Amino acid sequence: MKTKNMYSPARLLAGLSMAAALGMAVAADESLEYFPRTPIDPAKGVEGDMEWSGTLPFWRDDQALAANAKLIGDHHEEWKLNMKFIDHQDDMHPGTLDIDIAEKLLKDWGKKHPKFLTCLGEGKTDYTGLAATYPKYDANLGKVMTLEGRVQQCAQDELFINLPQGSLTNIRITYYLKSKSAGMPVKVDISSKPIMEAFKRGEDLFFKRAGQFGFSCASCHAPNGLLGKKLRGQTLTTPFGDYASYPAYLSGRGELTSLQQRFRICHVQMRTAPLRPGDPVYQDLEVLYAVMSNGAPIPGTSMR
Amino acid sequence: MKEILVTFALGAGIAVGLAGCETVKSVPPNHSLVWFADPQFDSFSKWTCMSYSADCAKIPMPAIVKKELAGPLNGDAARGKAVFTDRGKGNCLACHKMQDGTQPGEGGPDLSQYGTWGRADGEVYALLYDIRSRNPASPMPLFGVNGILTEQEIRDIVAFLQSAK
Repeated sequence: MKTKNMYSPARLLAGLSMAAALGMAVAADESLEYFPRTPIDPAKGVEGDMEWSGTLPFWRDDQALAANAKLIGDHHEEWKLNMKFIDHQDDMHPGTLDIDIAEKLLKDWGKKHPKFLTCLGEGKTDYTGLAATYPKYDANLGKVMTLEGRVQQCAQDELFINLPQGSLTNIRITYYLKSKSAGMPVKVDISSKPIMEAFKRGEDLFFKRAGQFGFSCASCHAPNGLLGKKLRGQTLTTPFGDYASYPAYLSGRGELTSLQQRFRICHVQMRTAPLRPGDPVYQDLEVLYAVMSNGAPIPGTSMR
Repeated sequence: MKEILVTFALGAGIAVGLAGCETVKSVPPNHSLVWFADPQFDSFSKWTCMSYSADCAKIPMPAIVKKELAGPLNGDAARGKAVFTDRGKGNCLACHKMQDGTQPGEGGPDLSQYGTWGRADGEVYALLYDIRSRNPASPMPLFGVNGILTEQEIRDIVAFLQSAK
């Protein structure tokens, strides 16, 4: 577990003096600190992609994917399917085993601790459609909760164990809960003020430049950036709809991976300091991504 | 010796007692946690980050630099080609077409005839050093100003670009 002790005093001093000399003047300089913004309309949900990549008609639902199955394997066109076709393949993949493991864990733990099960389900043990409503504002706790945050909180409160966000057990339970919303559209409540505040912060972060490369999320995933362009063999896809498919089994990592872990991979590629899953920055980005997936069907058992 | 035994027995008793109190057993290992503590990422804290609380978030983006080329170019086109294609260095093929470059990306302009564009060495050098000096909205990495490449590596790439005809 790394703490902030990673900063050497000299580096810290250099950073602070730089910030003191330039910080105030530069912080306001939009063109330096931010990539040019493309507006995101939260009311449009996943339909907002029509103003971004325009690929939504190719991956909107099972019918669209079936109709465009001919693009699979086409190096120039496959990106238009937004990798959603992998979610809908009938083949078993290792991620489905994680659902079995999570189901058994909940069954075993639930025998002694039935309140853990009702905590996850907000009073119910039928989880159908539950995951589709996350992230949401919890009035009792006074904060926005992601599904993984809920798993962590319930494990802490009812089982007295730590299942940190980003840990495999946490993601397995999240993946299991998400599978109970298979086929249902993401339904984040954008009339909630705390959700919209998190969305605004997430939107700001999306355009914030960072790291050695000076990239923002938008540099690669906005229409005025490189969205839809090839980076050697791969084409950059739209951020719309991604939330519906996470957590996903990433074949490249060989492990179930949460959306916030995926953000970490992006940050490492941008050469900026990656954060821990559950960090407020990643939570705000997750809310942004969830709103950008509003209306997109949840595949249930996703793979990338 | 007796004291040690008593202490041991007491300790074992407490351990058994605690084990009895344990609420949940057999939590699978959290493999993913290993992945969080990779020290190689610490060096990224030299540049601005997206945190709300970490010190790196206070580091501003570097000011735009219009870097002058000092003295003669002294670039080596062959070395420049290596830096251009190295994925850990320039990784220029990620976005640009270039002669002999396989599977180029399409994020930036085709550079395969760059030597015919009639650009002065100093101009190319300044663009590579900080692309924002020409286009503040460009997604190209800040090769010079953020130290992705050394000054000599940039000079070598300029020589390589000017040789592309």
